[in-house]
This record gives sequence, structure tokens and C-alpha cells, in this order.
Amino acid sequence: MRGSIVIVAMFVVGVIAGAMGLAEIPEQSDVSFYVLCALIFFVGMSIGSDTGTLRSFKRLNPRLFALPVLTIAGTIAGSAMAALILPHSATDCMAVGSGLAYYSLSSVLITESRGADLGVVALLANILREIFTLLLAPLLARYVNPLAPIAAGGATTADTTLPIISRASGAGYVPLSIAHGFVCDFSVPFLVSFLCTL
Amino acid sequence: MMALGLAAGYLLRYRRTEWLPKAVTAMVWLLLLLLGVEVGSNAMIMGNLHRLGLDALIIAALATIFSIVASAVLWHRLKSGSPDAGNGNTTSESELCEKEDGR
Repeated sequence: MRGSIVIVAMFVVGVIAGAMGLAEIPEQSDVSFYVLCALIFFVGMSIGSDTGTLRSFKRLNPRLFALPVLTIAGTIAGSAMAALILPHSATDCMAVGSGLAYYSLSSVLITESRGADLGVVALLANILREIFTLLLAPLLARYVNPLAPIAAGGATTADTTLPIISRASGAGYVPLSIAHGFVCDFSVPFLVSFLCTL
Repeated sequence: MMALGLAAGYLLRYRRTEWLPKAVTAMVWLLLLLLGVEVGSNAMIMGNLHRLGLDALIIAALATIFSIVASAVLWHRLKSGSPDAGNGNTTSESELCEKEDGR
């Protein structure tokens, strides 16, 4: 939770500094591109070195993977529907949606390849998805099904939304929620960069 | 870049990597600060912020609703005992949910 607040605060500080002319990014600046390259490299490194998680995936019931796959498919379908009513292309909407509530990484990836305005949409859309999940998890678990809060949470179900899911769906769903969060987490950089190249 | 990172991470998997998440967090902070500055100094984006927010709301809502629908499809298949047993799908609710007394 503290981490999320710092992330939003960084963005807000940047907006204020930019609006007041305190900070300026030169027109042809490549700083963020190089930082992003380093970021991607380190994200890849942490996935590659995390053999413990990869090994624990192998022990899991392979059917557990049906839920994250459906979450991702549903998300991409829903985002594509959004393109019907919004002035963005279907691939732009799908790239935003495929952040799966992992707003920090998805927004910087999209900013770099699609520009700051879609980056802002990605940041807000994915923060909103996390907020929806935190607010609606108890209702979803009661009136839809215990899997619904996990599907809604996307990539956050292994960390920020895990406590509320555990309370709403029941502690028995914690292992599924963590597995779901990890699969979605790992998919975000690949999905977002793939959809941005389309 | 991602492939290089994956390879490097795999080769260094026995080294200490506690600093990695911190490095990732620091870079995400820096990039979001830069995104903020870019947005703040761009009058066109600042003027359209309410519209971008509405777009974000619509995408977030539809993405969330459709993933919930997808989960409901899975849930009903589990509940109905998978009548389409042709693919050997015999998943039951208990396979997804560890009952507390079952541990």
C-alpha cells in the first residue's frame, strides 16, 4: 500500500513540476528510453533468476492456469470492446488493458512506445482496476463467484489485493490467488510490448 | 532486452539478487516522475486530462467486467461437473480451492 502511494506521488510531483515549469524534458531526450531499457533488463533478470517460483509452478496443479489465461483473455476482449466507443485504436486499448492492474510497469512501457497521453490512460486505467478490485472484492465473491475477485485483480492478486481476496473468497483461495498474480505479473511486460508493436 | 535480462538472471541465479526489486522500484519511480513532468509540461495532455481519465475508466471497467465474465464461465464449468469430459477435464472446485481442513 505504501509503495502504491509513493508511485502515485512520484507521478503527481512530476505533473506539478512540469506544469509549473520547474522541470523540463528536452525535446529529443533519450533518458527515459535508456532507463526503460535498464528496467526491462532488470525485470527480465529477476524473472530469470527466480527459479524458486518457476519450480513451484511446476508443482502446482496445471488446471490452476486456466484462471489467469481466462483473466487475460477476458481483459483483452473487454479492452477491445472499449475501442468501439473510444477514439483509440483496438491495439491501443488492448495494450492499456493488458497492464492487468500492474500500472507502474505498463504505463512506462506504453509511454515509451505510444506516447505520454496513452501512458497516462494506462496509468489511470490500471490504478482504477486495482481500486475496483479492492472495493468490489467482497461483493464479487458473494454475488458472482469466489473466482471473480481474483480475475478482477489481474496482476495484483499475489500482493496488494491478496488480503482482501483472502477475506472475500476465503483463505482456501490464497494459493490460487498467488499463482494467478504471478502468472499475470510475468505476462504483463510481454503482453504490453507485444500489443504495442501491433 | 528482456531476453538478455532473462539470460543474465538465469546465469546469475545462484548469486544474491535482493537488490534487484529495489533497483526495479527506483527505476519505476524515476520513469513515473519523468512521465509526470512530460504530462505536466504538455498543455494538450493537461487540457485533455478529464477525457483521458474517462477513457481510462471505460477501459478499466470493461477489462475488469470481461475478466469476471471469463471467470464465471470457468466457475460454471467446474460447478456443472464438466459435462464435456471429452478433453479429460475433470477439474472440480476442490482442486482450485484448498479447503482449510484439507491441509
